[in-house]
Amino acid sequence: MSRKFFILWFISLAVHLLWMVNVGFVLPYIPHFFLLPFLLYHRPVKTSHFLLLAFVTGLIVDAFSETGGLYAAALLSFAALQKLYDRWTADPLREKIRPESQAGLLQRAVVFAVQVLVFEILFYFFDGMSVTYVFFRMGNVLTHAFETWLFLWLFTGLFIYKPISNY
Amino acid sequence: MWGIFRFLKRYGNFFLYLMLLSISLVLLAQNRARAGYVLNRWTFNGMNLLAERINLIGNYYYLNSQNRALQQENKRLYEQLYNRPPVLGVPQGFHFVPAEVVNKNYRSGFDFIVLDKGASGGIAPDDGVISSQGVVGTVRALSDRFAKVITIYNPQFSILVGKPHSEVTGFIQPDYRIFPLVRVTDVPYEAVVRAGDTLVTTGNSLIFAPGIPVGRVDSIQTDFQSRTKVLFLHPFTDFRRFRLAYVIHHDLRQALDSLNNEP
Repeated sequence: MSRKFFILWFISLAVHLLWMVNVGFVLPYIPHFFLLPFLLYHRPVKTSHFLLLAFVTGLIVDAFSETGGLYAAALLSFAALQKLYDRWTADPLREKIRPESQAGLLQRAVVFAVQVLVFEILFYFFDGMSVTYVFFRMGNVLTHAFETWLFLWLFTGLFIYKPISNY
Repeated sequence: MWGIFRFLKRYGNFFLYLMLLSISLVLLAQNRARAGYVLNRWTFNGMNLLAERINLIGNYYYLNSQNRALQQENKRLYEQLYNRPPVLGVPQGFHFVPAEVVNKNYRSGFDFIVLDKGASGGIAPDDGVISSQGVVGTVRALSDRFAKVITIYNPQFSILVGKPHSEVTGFIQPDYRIFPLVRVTDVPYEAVVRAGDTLVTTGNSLIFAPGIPVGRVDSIQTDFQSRTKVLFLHPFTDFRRFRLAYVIHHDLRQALDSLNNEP
């Protein structure tokens, strides 16, 4: 398993749980920080490990937020979709030349937005167990996705992003 | 065995996903009322659907024996119905032999079907054949185990049909060019027949028992020269779908035929 992935997984999960336990709902929703490693370093990790880690992460968050298996189901499905997307767009050469963590900020912003939105849709789908519920709560989905996207993008830009010229 | 391993290796991640998702959904259903309600509903519907499918498969295997039982029951009921006294001018003694269609050829002008019962099953040439819907045809040739039947669309087929409870009668004259209709000729000019009327067998030649439905009148033409009406009949039997038939045999028919053929 990628070392970077593991470190980022630990940090993002800790940030999310600490925010949840100590800060609470300062904003309308708590940003889903734990998504970060699943957005950034999904390619190098083996599919089975990736799915198991998504499940475990979801269960840990569920245990703290008393939501049953809501996060586990949503994150697991998101991880499966990520791997499916990787499989469809597999290009090992591109990955070697320019890892996702080295992509431009604007490009990352757009990709993050789409990925986070997909996760939030899955999250609200499992919350209500129906597609209608997602449409009914579309305002919440978009707000939550925007918050998560904003924080993840800032976090990535401040701590992880390296300009392409350094590579 | 290696095939199973290869299969698991290939789709292992998918099964892992399904397994983990199932665990998540069970936890979700236990902790959240709405999700629990929806999942319970899905499970209930899914199980019912599965049970229905299993039931369908079971019914399919059970269907054959059920069909045979129903055929035997129909045979008994037909014999009771068409041998009931008094039937004016028609002596009692109709026997019904259940049979299955093994081959059929229709809409060709040489329409015939082959039944799985032959001379050893108690069938004779020129016996009538019916389905549960109505008249099918008459037996033309026989072997020990099979019978070839010309259908109501075959040009060689001709029987007397009539309107129930009236004196209106006519002869069936098939013509494949007007498929799926057949022509009924020699209907008296003054006969009162309307489109939609049902025509049945008369039972005069003992080929068919009297009163078996043949078809519904589709349209009527009047031939002013011969002062007769020509009816276009839509037979009741659906030849594309019917699988079970009954051959009608009358003990006295051969005696009647020999008398009719006397010069």
